[in-house]
Amino acid sequence: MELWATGFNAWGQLDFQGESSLAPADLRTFKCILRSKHLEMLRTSLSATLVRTSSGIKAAGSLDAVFQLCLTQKDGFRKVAIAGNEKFAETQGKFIKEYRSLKSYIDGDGHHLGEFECFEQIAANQTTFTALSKNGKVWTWGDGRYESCLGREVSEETPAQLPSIVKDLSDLPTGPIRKISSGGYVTAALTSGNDLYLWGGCPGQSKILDQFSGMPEPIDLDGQDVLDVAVGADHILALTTEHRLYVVGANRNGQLGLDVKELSELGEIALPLGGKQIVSVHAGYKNSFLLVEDIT
Amino acid sequence: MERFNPSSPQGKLVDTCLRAFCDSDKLAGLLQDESEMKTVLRACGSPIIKLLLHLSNAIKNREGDFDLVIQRLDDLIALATEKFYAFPFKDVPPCWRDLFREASFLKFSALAVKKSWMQQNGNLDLQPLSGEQMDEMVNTIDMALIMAGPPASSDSQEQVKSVFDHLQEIHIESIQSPEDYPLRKRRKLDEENKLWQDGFPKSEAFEPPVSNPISKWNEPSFGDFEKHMLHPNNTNIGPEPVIIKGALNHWPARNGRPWKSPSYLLSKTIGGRRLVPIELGRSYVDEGWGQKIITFKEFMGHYILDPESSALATGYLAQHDLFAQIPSLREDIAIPDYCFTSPPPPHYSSPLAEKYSRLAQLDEPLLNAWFGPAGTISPLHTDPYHNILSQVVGRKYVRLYAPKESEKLYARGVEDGGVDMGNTSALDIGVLAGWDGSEEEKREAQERFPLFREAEFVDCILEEGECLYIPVGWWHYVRSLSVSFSVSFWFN
Repeated sequence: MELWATGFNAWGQLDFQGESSLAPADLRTFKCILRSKHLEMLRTSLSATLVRTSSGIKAAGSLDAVFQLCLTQKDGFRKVAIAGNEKFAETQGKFIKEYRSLKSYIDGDGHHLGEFECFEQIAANQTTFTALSKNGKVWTWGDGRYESCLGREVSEETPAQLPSIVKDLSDLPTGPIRKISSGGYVTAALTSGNDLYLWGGCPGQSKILDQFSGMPEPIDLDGQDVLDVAVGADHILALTTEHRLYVVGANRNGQLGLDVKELSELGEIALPLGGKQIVSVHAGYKNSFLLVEDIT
Repeated sequence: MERFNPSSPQGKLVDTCLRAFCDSDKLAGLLQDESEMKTVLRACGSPIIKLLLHLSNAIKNREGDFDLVIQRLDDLIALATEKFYAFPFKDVPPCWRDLFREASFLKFSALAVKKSWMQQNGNLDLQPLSGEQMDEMVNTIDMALIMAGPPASSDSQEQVKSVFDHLQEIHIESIQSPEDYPLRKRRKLDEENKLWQDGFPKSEAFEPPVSNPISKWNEPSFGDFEKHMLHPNNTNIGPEPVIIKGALNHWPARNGRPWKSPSYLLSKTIGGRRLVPIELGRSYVDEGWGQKIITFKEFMGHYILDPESSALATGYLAQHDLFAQIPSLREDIAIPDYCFTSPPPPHYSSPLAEKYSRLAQLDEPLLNAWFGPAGTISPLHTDPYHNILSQVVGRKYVRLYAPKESEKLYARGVEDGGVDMGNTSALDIGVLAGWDGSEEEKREAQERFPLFREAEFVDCILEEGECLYIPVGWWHYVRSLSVSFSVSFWFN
């Protein structure tokens, strides 16, 4: 397998060879940055990238305190999401626990938000947490100032700061949700029938896509099915079931891998993969990652 | 090629940048010594400190790719800005404000040595700063002060003040030694800067009639004024507003350093480069009201000198402590003696009396600048302090209601988003008096606010050079009749 990447690289987080000088430039186009028989993205942060390879876990960039902690966890900290406001949330079976900061996480000084469903995945953006249950239900909670990021109604019964179901994502025509991704002020959800839904937005900032509202909106990619989606700080990647890659959003750090200032509509990008195909997409802070495999 | 001596303004500027703003030793210390130096910046984490240290060294030695250094500093400023949004204002961890400032000061320093860095021939001689360089430098540091606030330590505050002083000197030198400037431009500069004879446009703004004129008093003594406040004619009302004449006559701002001259004001703001916060829209209670940060030059050009040139909203530099930002303007005015009297507490008839009397005693008066074109409106509101509103340039209509009229004035409450607007009235005096809006709107407003008709008020046109004493808790509505520059002095 191959790992391809583009974008923000201030700490050499796209350089697994450790060859960069002290002041690495950003990558402006997608390049293969790592090869291994098996590759799995574990986590990205502002300054580092963590992947699992056939020969063990590898890190690139500069490790902050959170990543030091990740390295001690076998699963790369999969059940913990960290928001831009430095809050931590952890799923424990049916329970969710929230921590004010890294310090309170390390001290075990968190508070239980309640008992919900068995959770499969948890994600965070700047101010919102999103958790996906095994039944394909999406729960959101977070800072009520950014209501659009919750994708649901906020009321006395369903306050912003407590997990509540995103009703608009229940009973969708193409089945329950199977994957979520979150970043910046946006969250994405994919149905088991491969439809893509997005919601979010931050008042006073331009929207990544015009369609954004405070409720999940279906996103049409010329009728194509969507295999995978990834949301970064200010950009989004989508991969179709035909393994075609689409990108949208800011490109200040080259995160789109295109020679444009920014994209306000999803645009396709074709890469010289040499007979291979993209099998998954991942977004870091202001960079993008693709896992590439031989066509079997 | 010209060599700069280290005592020239630019030599001093670069020295401050490389010595104080590129403090690599401090940054290296943050990485090594966990126990020493309780610096909040450390909370940004070691990757960020390492990057800052690398950038600081690059600037000190003018090594590496200049554009990449600037990009990384912009990346860090963007990161800090993202954190400002991610937390409620009061909860933003102080390290992110520090990062915003630190990265901005480094960027400022990189810009200060840009030309000699770009030459790449080992020549570390200073090259004169270009106008564009000055634009970007002032923008960078002013944005840091506005977004992140002034630095905490008094040393850093002094350093910031000194770089602005040096930039101001460089600007003044550039307009006084105009060999580098084309002849035509030079003549224009000479006219503007030597004479300061220019003025603001006259306006045809609507002038409301004065119905219940406020009495005028020619330079009362300190004792007489204090007596006016402490022994009111009518104890049911408390001290009343009065216009004070003659108190501003000795101000430099009304004499040799004339604020009525646009070119003077531009010269004091490093050629209009300083950034100021502007309110856009007719009044802060209107729909579509907003704020933005622009250069003083842009504000002057678009909103003051040529307000009708485009469909721009009214722009108002309102309630801004311009004098903390630009201390040399502070030297053009003086705090009126009247602010050092001992005024009475808010009158008992004010519904906000208890709230206002809980405020701590001010060590010194609070100064704010109010600079805008004709037609700015401050809607009917009360302030928590006594006020000497000093009219330096232009004229304003002011209408005042005593605290005892409060129940007829329909104070707003806590509004959506939790903002307490209890000091602001729901009334639009302009509509109710028939100066703004249609007959229909006037009738609707009168029906909606039936008690308003019975509210008693006093009013005046505050002329250039006059001061208006506004007692604490009095409702006031203010409307500029021309380009106007006022200074308010709050005291208690």
